[in-house]
Amino acid sequence: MNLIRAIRQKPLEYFILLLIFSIAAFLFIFYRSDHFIQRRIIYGSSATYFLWSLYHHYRQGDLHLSIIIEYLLFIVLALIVTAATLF
Amino acid sequence: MKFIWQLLFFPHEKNNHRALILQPSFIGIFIAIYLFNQSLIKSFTIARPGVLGYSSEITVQKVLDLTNKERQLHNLPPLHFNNTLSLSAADKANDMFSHNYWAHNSPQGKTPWDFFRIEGYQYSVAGENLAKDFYDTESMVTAWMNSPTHKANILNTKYQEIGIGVVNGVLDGVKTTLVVQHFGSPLNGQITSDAPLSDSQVLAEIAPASPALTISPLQISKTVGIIMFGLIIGVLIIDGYLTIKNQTHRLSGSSAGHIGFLAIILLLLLVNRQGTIF
Repeated sequence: MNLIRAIRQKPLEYFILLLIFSIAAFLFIFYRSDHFIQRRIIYGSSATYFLWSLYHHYRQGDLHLSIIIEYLLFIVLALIVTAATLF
Repeated sequence: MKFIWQLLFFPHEKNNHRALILQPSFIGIFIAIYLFNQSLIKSFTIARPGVLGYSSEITVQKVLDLTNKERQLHNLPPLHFNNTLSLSAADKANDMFSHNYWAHNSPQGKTPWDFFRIEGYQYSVAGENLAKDFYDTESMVTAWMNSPTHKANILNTKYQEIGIGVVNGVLDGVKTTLVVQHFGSPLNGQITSDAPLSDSQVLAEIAPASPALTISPLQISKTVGIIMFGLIIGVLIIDGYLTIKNQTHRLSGSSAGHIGFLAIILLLLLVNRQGTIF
């Protein structure tokens, strides 16, 4: 499914995703002096993104193992890079 | 060869209409490359300690000036510079280098107050701020002011004197500059107002290593991460554009979701400030 069409078909789901990322970015900058909280914000937003992806693909009817693995790999990559550079 | 590049970056029927770079096996390769890069950096810091590190232009005078500027902005009297407190601050920094730790209390059980006592500073109240890996004094003082506990030390009305240690050395195999602020009020109430030693005097006395320009391991990790994320986001955008154009249907994760997630991580990497405070 293409990018724009997906957003147009499920505006509420993508709005929720935007909200999750915006809150995560705001909290990350707000707690810029506290690496302990920043780390939890990254973990929390990654877990929320994963849950969002499960819900999104379940609703879409294409929740397959390959898609779950794809999301997990993107999240693992992000966590490894942030762990090595931000903390 | 051109066809392989095309398969790497563009959706095509030969790559199941998904650029190879975006496929789980290639994301796995990215993870492996990044972990390999990190292990190389770690091995290098063990094999050749002090080659990688953080350069710094922090001076005692600048730390003193900016600390007192913050107090002035909050209508508080300036802190008087005390050389005894500076020696205890430098002792603390040297202790962190020699015992390879980064904390208020040492693994041997030494507290910050032990360093005050060793140098003979009798205090009624005292405090400590720590910072490492900062390049400039402004960013470091801003980081302290953004942290409620460090800010409370800088703006504490009970403190009358300050000592500052700016020491270069090797911590965890990485060359860096540690900055220690020791705050206090003398028990006898007699305030001294010493002139800060010049940095050459301070460094000559306490520095175990020169602050020569070095390659920052954090910068290497950050650059590799930014390149990877930039590349993946770029290919995801191309992928989104071409799937709209070709009206392709396929089984894959949400490109919009991935772009949003990776973009937010990329943004955090780009805006993340230098250095660490404790």
